[in-house]
Amino acid sequence: MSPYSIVIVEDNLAVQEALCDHLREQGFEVRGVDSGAALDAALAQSSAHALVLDLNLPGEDGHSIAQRMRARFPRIGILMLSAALAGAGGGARQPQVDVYLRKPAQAQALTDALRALCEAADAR
Amino acid sequence: MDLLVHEIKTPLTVIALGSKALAQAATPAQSALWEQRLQQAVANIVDILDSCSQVSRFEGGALSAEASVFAPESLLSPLIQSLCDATQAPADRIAVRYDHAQDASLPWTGSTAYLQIILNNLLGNALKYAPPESPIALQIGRLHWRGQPTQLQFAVRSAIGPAGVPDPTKVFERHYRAPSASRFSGTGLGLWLSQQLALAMGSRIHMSQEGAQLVFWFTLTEGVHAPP
Repeated sequence: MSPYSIVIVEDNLAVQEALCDHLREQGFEVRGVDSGAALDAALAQSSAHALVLDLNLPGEDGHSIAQRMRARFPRIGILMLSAALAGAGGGARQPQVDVYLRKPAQAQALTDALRALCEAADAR
Repeated sequence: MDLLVHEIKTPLTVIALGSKALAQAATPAQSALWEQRLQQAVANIVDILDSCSQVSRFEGGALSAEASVFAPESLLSPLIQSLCDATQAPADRIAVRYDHAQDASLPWTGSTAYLQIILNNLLGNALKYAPPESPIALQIGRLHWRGQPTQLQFAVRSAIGPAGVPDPTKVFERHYRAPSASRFSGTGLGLWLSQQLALAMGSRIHMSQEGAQLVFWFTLTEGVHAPP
């Protein structure tokens, strides 16, 4: 069985690398990019089961990316990582996002949420 | 505050992932990599807290502006060693050059605490943002003009890295960060504080671009000290 494919959009290099390595060690196929434009390029090469988006990105933020991705890929899983609580400077939760996790996200919670999203995306 | 919360939660994310990964690491190489990431994440948090503490002390009048006599060489050697140790950079990454060799040991009277913070920020930024292993130069020169007080000029030169060139109209603003600087940990407080300290010493830090290099430079004037 092919591994589930994830793309992580995170501009901080240290976090991007840590997320990528952790999820690879959990058996996912992972690509890391630093912007919405880079995500577009990555998905043009090959699709993904789920996305991990940082809400607080320079330029196009996570919510804007989620909105675009949901319109293009209705079945894709979208997980948003945010340093803020929704409604406390983090903005309202968006229906395009399947799961919100607050930073610092616990490793197991992140893995479990992504696995569930990928299984759901695969089943649709 | 939102910016600082985000900047602290970012390395905490690495710590949350790494603590589990380290326990489950299958090979010594994986263990070593996660250990390095954890140490860097902790160092990033310490830097953020130190920045906030310095700003708080400055604004509360608790940063000592006391002037003392020092030789540039004796001030710079431990500062650079400490920076290189903290960032795991090779000791010779930062080259200190004097316009005239004797300037290294000629005594100067100034606010050593303020000068140390400024140089720590400028050199620390160069280490953080310049391409890895690219050389960093600190040029120091004494300027003598007939009938004028002697001046001591400091210039930090480094290659422009992935964070790009800061907006020169905003670079010394509080919490400003260059467009792609979010790739790295930072608060946007270091250059703001450094400029405040320079102004307090009757100086001003300037930034310019020389081809593929960024230069931050400032000049101290003999006899002009920060108010106590």
